Amino acid sequence: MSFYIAGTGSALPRKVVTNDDLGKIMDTNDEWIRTRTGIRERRVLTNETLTELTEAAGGQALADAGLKPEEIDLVLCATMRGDMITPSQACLTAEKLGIVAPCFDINAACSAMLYSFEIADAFISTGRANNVLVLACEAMSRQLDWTDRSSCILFGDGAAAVVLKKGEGLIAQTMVCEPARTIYNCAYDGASPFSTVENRKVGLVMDGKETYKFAVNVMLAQMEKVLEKAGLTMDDIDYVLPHQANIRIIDAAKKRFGIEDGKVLTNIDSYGNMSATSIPVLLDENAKAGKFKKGDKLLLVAFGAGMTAAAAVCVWSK
Amino acid sequence: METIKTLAEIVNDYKGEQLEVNENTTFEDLGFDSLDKVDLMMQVEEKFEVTLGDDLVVTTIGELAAKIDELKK
Repeated sequence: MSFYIAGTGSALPRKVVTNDDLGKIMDTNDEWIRTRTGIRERRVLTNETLTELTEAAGGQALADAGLKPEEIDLVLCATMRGDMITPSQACLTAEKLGIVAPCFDINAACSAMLYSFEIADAFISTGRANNVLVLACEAMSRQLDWTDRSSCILFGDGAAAVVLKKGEGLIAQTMVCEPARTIYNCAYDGASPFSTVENRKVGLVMDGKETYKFAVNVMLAQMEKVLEKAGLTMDDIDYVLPHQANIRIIDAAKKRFGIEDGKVLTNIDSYGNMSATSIPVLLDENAKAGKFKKGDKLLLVAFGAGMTAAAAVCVWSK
Repeated sequence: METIKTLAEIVNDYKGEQLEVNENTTFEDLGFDSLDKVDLMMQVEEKFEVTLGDDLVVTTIGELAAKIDELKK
């Protein structure tokens, strides 16, 4: 297929919020959160903006790819909600980076990074772009109902970036959606004087059990499907980078698929669920740590509100 | 009894232990939280080829086995 991952970057808020910190402001505790989710702490925005964080991440990715801003043909940002409704987060960040190119955001919840890969592939393979900057960011802390201890403990804030360059690297992708409101967020800000709609609950609402069922099943299905498309088996894969929603989901899928220990990468203990930003932060941190060697096959798999899901198999080309 | 035996195998495989599981064993006895129960129900549906439904309320292995046997008739 049409691109390879040429550069990565990530930037996290300074503030670390531990489970004990949450226990001081709501009825919860470290043991409860850790055993049910695998999360120990997460990052939360204080006065930083997503624009600052994505600018930092994007700058790192460009430098890592050896590209100047003027060489970028398209900027995508995987996010449910940037700093502004408009301009898009992609536009806001492109301005800071000195990029002049078409920019738009992708809202496919936690699957948006991999949905962005599909879009980048479509642009690159049809000759519309050679170099695509894919940003990812989420200020989950701004979107949560902080009185709902069943959901607000799960999420964290962060930003990341990937530069995709025309060339060989991507082997196969899948992208699906089964429409359902298992997870939703109305974020209903206000109504006109003429609206007859009642105020809706603001903040993320999630059916935990249904989400778990969907996530485990769809993670298995997408991994199977993308491996079939790639003409590979799990034995051929060096690392699996799953969306970091809950360690229980990852462990359940890992067990059912029979994936050996050490192959599945996680960072949920440090960052919680950062929506579409989870996978590229995982990618960048492991890349910077020298985990991947040239030729390693990575399987990325995501699932989220929509209900969306996607997977990709890429060869690490650096 | 066969159903309970199979459920015991599923539970022990899930927990990675060899627990004594009989018809009176509760999910609390097994140390199951809500996600463990969801996972168990998913495995039961797969293994026994039944659909349990989201509003199923069972507290013991025996009750779960009885429901499975009822659905399999």
